Amino acid sequence: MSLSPSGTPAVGRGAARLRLRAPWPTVRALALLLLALLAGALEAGARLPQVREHLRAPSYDISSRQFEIQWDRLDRFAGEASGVRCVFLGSSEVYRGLDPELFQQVFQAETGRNLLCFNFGVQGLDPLNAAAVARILVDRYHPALILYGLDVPSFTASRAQGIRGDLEQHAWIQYELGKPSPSGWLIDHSYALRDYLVIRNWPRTNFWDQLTQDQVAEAGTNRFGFGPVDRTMTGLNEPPSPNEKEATFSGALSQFEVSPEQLDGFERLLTTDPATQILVVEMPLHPGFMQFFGNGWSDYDTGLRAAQQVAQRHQVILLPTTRLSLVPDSGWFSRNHLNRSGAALFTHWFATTLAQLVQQGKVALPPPGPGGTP
Amino acid sequence: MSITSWSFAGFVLLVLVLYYLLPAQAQIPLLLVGSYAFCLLLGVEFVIVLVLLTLAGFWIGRRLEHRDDSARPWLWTGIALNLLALAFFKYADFFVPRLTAFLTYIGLPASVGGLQILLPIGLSYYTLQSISYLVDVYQGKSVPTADLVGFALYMAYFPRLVAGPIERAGEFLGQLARPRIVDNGVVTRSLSLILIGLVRKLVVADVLASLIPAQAFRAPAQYSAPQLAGWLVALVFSIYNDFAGYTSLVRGVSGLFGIELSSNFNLPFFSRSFAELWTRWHITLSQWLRDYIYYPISRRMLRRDPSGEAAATLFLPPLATMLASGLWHGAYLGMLTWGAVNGVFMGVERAISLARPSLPLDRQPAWRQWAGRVLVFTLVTLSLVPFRTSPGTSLQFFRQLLTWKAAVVPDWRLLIPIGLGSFIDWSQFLGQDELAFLRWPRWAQAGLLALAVLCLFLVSWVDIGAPFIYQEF
Repeated sequence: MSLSPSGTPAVGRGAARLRLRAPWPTVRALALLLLALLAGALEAGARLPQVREHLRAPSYDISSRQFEIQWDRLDRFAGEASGVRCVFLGSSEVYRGLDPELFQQVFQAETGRNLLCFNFGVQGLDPLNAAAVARILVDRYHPALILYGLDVPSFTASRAQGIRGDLEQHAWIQYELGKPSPSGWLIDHSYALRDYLVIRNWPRTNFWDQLTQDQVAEAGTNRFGFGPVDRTMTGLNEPPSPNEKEATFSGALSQFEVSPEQLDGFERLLTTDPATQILVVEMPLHPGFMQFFGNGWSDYDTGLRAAQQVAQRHQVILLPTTRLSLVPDSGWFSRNHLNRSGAALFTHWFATTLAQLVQQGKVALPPPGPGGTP
Repeated sequence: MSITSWSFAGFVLLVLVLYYLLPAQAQIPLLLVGSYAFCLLLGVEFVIVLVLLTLAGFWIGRRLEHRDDSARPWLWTGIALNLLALAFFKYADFFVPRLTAFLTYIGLPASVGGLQILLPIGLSYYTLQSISYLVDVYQGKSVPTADLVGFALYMAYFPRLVAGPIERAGEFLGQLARPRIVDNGVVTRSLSLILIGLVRKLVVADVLASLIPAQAFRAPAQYSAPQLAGWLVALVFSIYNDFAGYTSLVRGVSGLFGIELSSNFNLPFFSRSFAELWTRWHITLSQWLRDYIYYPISRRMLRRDPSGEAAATLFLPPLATMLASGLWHGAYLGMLTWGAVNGVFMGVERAISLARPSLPLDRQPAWRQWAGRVLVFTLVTLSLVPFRTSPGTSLQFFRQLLTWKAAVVPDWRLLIPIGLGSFIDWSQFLGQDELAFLRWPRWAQAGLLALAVLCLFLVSWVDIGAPFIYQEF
């Protein structure tokens, strides 16, 4: 083999050989011990009730902070009531539009029976994601009744409205749905990690703004998961404005088609578990909202009919509302969200209607037990 | 496949296991296959360019063996081929639209827009390696290799393919020829380099990059001077830790194969002069530029001006070298400005040292050494503004920096990653060794290891992953 002044060989190769001894890995073992001690201390601290009461709603590494807040509220609700009998499930229309306390009062007045529901309404929770949430709710809390608030626009084939990314992509959701992963397991079992995840995005430029928004969202949600709003929208029938929110609706609905995936999600939701009775109520929209659809009411009815067919197939009651004009213009804070007074009217109507269905024997009320009275 | 991903870790593990299971003769071919497989995972078209330039470099290298007049055209052919590849893939999108605009301006028909050509991964690095090989062979510093597989590995070696270091053929092929013993010491050093690299990249560089708003270097007028100053310092630390982290990581990975790659950084923020800085920052590129641009120009200038005191002799070599460095980083006016500014810094420094000769750096009083460090850091930091943005916006940035009226303070979160990065550098500086940590007491090493793992675990939950800055060049 010839070598150049700087060592370039003309031809020739040497071998690589591993010569490892097996020393006692003191440093690595010590480091592991330190980590275990630190993790143990943090975990123990995070589980102390005195610490917990000062902490924010834990995070499950999910892109929807509102989902996490609702999950925290539900956990506390279940703890106080020793279980969950009834859940309102749906999107922000449910979150803003159904008041569990009022619902219970009206229902009790009508039937003499107690039915306290938890409002698990989450912004952007479309039927596809709602099916996953229903599955987890049923597995974890075994509610006897799920009252699903149908949001017809969320059937659109355009995904512009849904929760950012599919809920099902998140490790913890997958874990809860029976697909184990180290991340999912860790999030499910570690209080300390869930608390850290609340501030995990500290290196982002918008962290403080996001934290403030989350604080407002947390403060605006009561212990039953209901998030009332006191504002009233004017000009409900005016043409859509170019603001971001309304432009999103226009983009998503101007060429409305029913998404087979969303319909499939809706079907899965209705067949979540034979032991859990499901009833669907169409969440009311202001007639002014129909302007977002390319073909107005015709598009809307296409979506509603598709949902009705699925519900009929599975013998699930679907209560239509939008054409009933249940809420006057003063009851809306946007074209698709009720304000506090609108929510009261709608909740009253829904509780009365459900009471009638119970009295007629069309809905079997879950037997009294834990989960009714927190 | 990012080299900080689990998939890359799995890939390395697989190649490592096969590497040590196979007989000696098969180890280098396996590394070559692994390197091409890695390149294939990044894009098929990248492999084609790499193979063509490898074959050309190898074949032309053989033609240069006799180093006589007949070899000279081959040398220039080889250099031209590599430069043409660089020009076509890297600079066409910059030059073609400007040429088109110029032709249109003078009334000639021209309708070619931006070509949207994808830069083959690692091209900027392996073309320089090929050129250095050809020049070294021609100048008799190396003999041409007859080992095509070894040469192909020199060009494509996967740990360094994406962003260097830019190796010299003599050293690299020499290592392949020698027995490579990987014992406990090598493994410990390699794993330590990997860990330091991961911390620098994921905990320091990525976090800092995430804390700098995109608008800071696009619309600086929106922000106060203290904010901009904070982000500018963060940018310097981010770029440095990103690239130093990458280099540390790939050196660690390569060490596990028994192949030592060159270091690219040696505490650049402790440089006391600009001349020293360029022996500490992106060392392998700086050495390449020094050997193949700075020295040849300097020699030519000194032949005309033996005293070396003429302005042209003082300024032209560093200016040309740093402009070439700017151009290598990217064909943008901002990059060229950055190069020119740093070239001027070096020229001025040289002129001052000729006018007022002073003691060698190591023998200067401590205060003067520290004053030099502060000055170099400050000027280098300021010169990074055009590195990041256009010359026009850079001017706005500087104007805003001088407007100290708003009382908005810099984001305190920047101190966390900057503090961590500085801690690593300071420890290396005090220990005069990049792996000074390995000489610490065991409990301290364990504490540091636990802290590093904890930091990596915590940042792994933040969605701020960014590609390595230097793989874009």
